[in-house]
Parts: sequence; C-alpha cells; structure tokens
Amino acid sequence: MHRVHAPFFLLCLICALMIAWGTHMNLSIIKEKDRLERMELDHFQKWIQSYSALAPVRKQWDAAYPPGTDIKDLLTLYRKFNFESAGLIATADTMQLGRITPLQENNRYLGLTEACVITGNEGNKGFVVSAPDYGKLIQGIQALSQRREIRFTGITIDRAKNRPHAVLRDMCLLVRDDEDASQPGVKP
Amino acid sequence: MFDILSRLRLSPGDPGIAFVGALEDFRSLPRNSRAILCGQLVFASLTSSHPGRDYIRQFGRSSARRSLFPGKKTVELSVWGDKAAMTAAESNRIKVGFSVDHYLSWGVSRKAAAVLIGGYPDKASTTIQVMVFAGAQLKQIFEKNLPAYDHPRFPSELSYLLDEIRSNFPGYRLHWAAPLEPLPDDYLQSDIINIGMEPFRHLQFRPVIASEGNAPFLRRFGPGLGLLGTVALVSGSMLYAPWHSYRVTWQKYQFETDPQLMPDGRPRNFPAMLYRQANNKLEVLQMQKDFLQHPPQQIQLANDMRQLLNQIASTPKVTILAFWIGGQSDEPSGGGRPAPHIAMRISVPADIRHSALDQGNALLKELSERTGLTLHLAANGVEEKLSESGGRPQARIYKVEG
Repeated sequence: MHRVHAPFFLLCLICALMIAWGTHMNLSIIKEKDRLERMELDHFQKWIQSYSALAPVRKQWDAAYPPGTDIKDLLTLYRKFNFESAGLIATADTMQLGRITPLQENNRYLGLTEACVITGNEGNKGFVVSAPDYGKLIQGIQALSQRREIRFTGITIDRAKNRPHAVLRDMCLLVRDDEDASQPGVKP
Repeated sequence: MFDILSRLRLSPGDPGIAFVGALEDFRSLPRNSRAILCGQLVFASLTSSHPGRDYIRQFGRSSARRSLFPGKKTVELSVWGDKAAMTAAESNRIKVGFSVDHYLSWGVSRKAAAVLIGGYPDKASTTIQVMVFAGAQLKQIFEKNLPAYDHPRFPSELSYLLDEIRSNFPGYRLHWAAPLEPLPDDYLQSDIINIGMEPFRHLQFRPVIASEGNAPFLRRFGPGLGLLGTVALVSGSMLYAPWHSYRVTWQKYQFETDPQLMPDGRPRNFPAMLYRQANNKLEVLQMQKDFLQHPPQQIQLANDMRQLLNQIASTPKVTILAFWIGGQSDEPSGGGRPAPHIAMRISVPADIRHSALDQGNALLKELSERTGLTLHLAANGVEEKLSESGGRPQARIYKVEG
C-alpha cells in the first residue's frame, strides 16, 4: 500500500467498475445477438435443404414449359404448339390470339401464363385441327393431350364437314414466366 | 529508581510490541515484528524545520481531529523518521507505529486543554516530548533532552522542566505517559497525573517512507494498473467466447448467403439470392412440384373420347355424325339441365316396326351397356330422316347426352 498513487488508483478503480458494468451489459446483448444470428442461420440452412430437395423441380419445370420470352408473335406461338409432331394439320393463317391470362391453380399463381388460340372462322368455338382420317385425328388429339404445355377443355368432332377435323375448346399453350415467380405478371 | 519499560505485551498470546528509541535496538528486531518508534528515531514539528540529513520526512499528520467538514484549515504536523530506521523497517518488513501518533490521537480526542509529556528513556539520556493540546487540537510540540534516569542530575532537571511547562502553560493539566516510567509519588501534584499506557490502548501502524523522491513506477501505479488489467482481462475472457461465437455465426451466415462466392471461388447463381429476394419461393416450388405430378387434365378427355368412339363405332349399324366431349356442346341441351359432359349425334337405320322413341330407347340401353355410362336422349333429340321418295323414314338420328 505504501506510496501508491491514490488518485491514479481511484481512476483505475472507476475504469475497472465501468469495464465490469459494460461487460455485464454487453454480455447479455452479445448472447442475444448470437442467439438470433444462430436462429437466422438455422432458418437459412433449413431453407437451403428444402430448396435443394426441390431443386429437381426447377429443371423439370423448365423442361416442361417453354419460356414466355420465346413467344414473340403469333407465328412463334403456333410453332410452339407443334401440331405436326402429333400428326395433326392446323393452319396459322386463320389462327387468332385468344386470352392471355396468368394460370391460377387453387387461386395460387404458379409462374405460368396461358396463351390461348382460336380459329377465326369457327366463331370463337375453339381451335380447329384436322387429319387425313379419323384414326389419325384421334391419335393426334391423344398425342397432343399428353403434352404438359398444352391445355384444352373440350373436343368436338363433326362429320358434317368433308375433312376429318376436330375443334379443341380453350386451346392454350402454357408458358413460364421467368425469374421472379412470386410476382404475377405476363411477359409481353 | 526507574526501570526501563521497553517492551509491552497487550495480551498473553501477543508476540509483543517493542517501544524502540535506539537504532541498534530497532535493527535487532526480528522480521515481521511490530514496533512503536519513539525517542531519537522520530522527530515531529508543527513548523517546517528540518531535523537534519539523517531524517526522512513521513506522511503529514493532521494536528486536529479529522472531520468530514473541517471548519478551518489545521496546521499539518510534520513527522520525520530516522533514515536508517526507515530503511531497516522496510527491508525487515517491520510494522511501524509512531508514539507521536498515539499521543496525538489521545490529545485531539479530548476537549479540555492538556499537556502531554511523553518520550523515551534511553540508557544515555532521556528524551522528553511535550505536546500541548487545546480545543481538541495540537497547539505546540517540542522536545527536551534530560539525562538518563539513573543520572544524579535527572530529578532536578525534570523538576526544572516541569516548572517551566507550568509557567508557560498555566492552568493546563500535565499528563505523564508511557514509555516513560510512571512518576514517583513525590513528583505528583494536583496538576500532574500518570496516564501510562492510556494513549497506546489502540495501536496505530503507519506506512513509512524510506527513500527520497518518488517510489518506483510500479509501486505507485502498479496496484491501479493491476486492478485495471485484471478486470479488463476477466471482462475480455468473459466476452470473448460469446463474441467469437457470434462472429463465427455471423461470418457463416454471410458466407452461406453470399450469392457471389463458392468455397472454391466459383461464382454461384445460388438460391441464396432467391432467399434474400423471396421467401415464398419454396412455396411456389412446392406448388409447381404438385402441379407437375398431376397429369394434364386433357389426357382424360382424349382417352375418354377414344374409348367412347371405339365402343360406339363397334355397335352395329350405328354411325356417329358428331361428337362432343368436355362439358359443353355447341348445341345446348334444353330444359335448364347442366351441360352434359358428353354429347353425340348418331344415326341408325330406321326400324319401322317400332316408333322412333322406342327404337331410341333400345339403342340407348345398348349403348349404355357398352360404354358403362348413363346416357339419355337430349331434349328434342329425335329426328327422322325421310327417304327422298318420301313416306317411310330411312334413318333416325338421335342426340344422346351423358
């Protein structure tokens, strides 16, 4: 104790008390921050896991639906339908654009837009496809129905016409809206 | 006539405290012992007078009782210690008290004016220390050297001193204190009493200053720095673990959510970006997965159509004129019924033995059996096609729904 510089010691004591107090305060703050950060990281890691598990879906999705940006005009839309591969005959000459609406499934937007077509001279009943004979027509419609990116809600076959043909009602192509699928919107 | 009282025991187990007034005595004390310094080893003064080079100044003492609210500034009592004794005290770790401190506290603790006579009886001479108190304050202090106790001139010199004090401080009571031997009865008068060990009832030990100038740096600032350092160290070690843990987690989070970097430095166009942008991405993905798992709705339509057409076409004599599937035909059925899922126009050769309705019902029954569907005739669903020559119906056309 002898000849200790008392004011300096007092100063040190005050500083020490402040440090101790600060430590006490910071300790709880840091612990809380650490806990929150861990929770956040945990949440993210779980998210990543789920996302990784669902990652193949994205590939399937991209493979199943053509991107909307590919559709630039009526002709590219017509080509996407690819009626020839189904053995069907259709014509782009009388094809008209019907409605273009975001697809809602159970009132939820999935990132798909329906681009629908009608044959103009059919009075908006639907889109006309034809084939050399009825067997091919039916086969063709079946082949068409297997394709995910194509949707129609009804088939009409009328023999009154001289050529085997069918009217597909609500004939639409599903195109995917790229990027941020959480925001509904139609790409031009 | 006097015995030298040089040693005092406060209790049976006490190692003892020596009243020491000579340097040789002090030096011969064992380590870690306790001693009250008096006599020539200490010099006290209310003035700034210096006792000489052999003495070293100690901490100053207040000449009045300590108070939280000192009314007026009191004169400081300077205390000097024998340099050699101070050094010995420090090197031998001897706890040192000063007799003058004890006299002082005795004096300032009483209101009445008093003269205290203390000192130290050495072999060669007797040191007499006189302290004058008034109003709980030390007013004057001075020393006298008398011959040794056993010297023939001691009694007369003592008498002379006492008379001098009486004349200088008339009306003051004189108190004769240890370690001086108590005064024999023939000295005692109404104005002088023996108080003996009374000032030493509560022993006080003081730090000593053994060298001039400032103490070494570590001595002065060490304790403070040590305290500060210890607290800082403890604080740091307490904070480090949680802080480090937080940093690690934070860095991990930053790294994992960094869309730019992969561990091998490759850029990643990673879901982390999506995570930061859209938290409901997962939900959408899940819905897309479900959507992909369901077959397109029109497959059922096309399959039904093919099956039905095959079944009906294989029915004898039946010709299909038109076929609708998918909820609504372009020729709406009447009667406000819900639109049928399937509708068709079929033609059969007319059977003139039955009415058109009867033939139709029979046909419906057959078709229903073949297809497994509940079919019925549409409103106004019967039409007879007459031959060009007229008269008898050639074919009957039915509109069937189901």
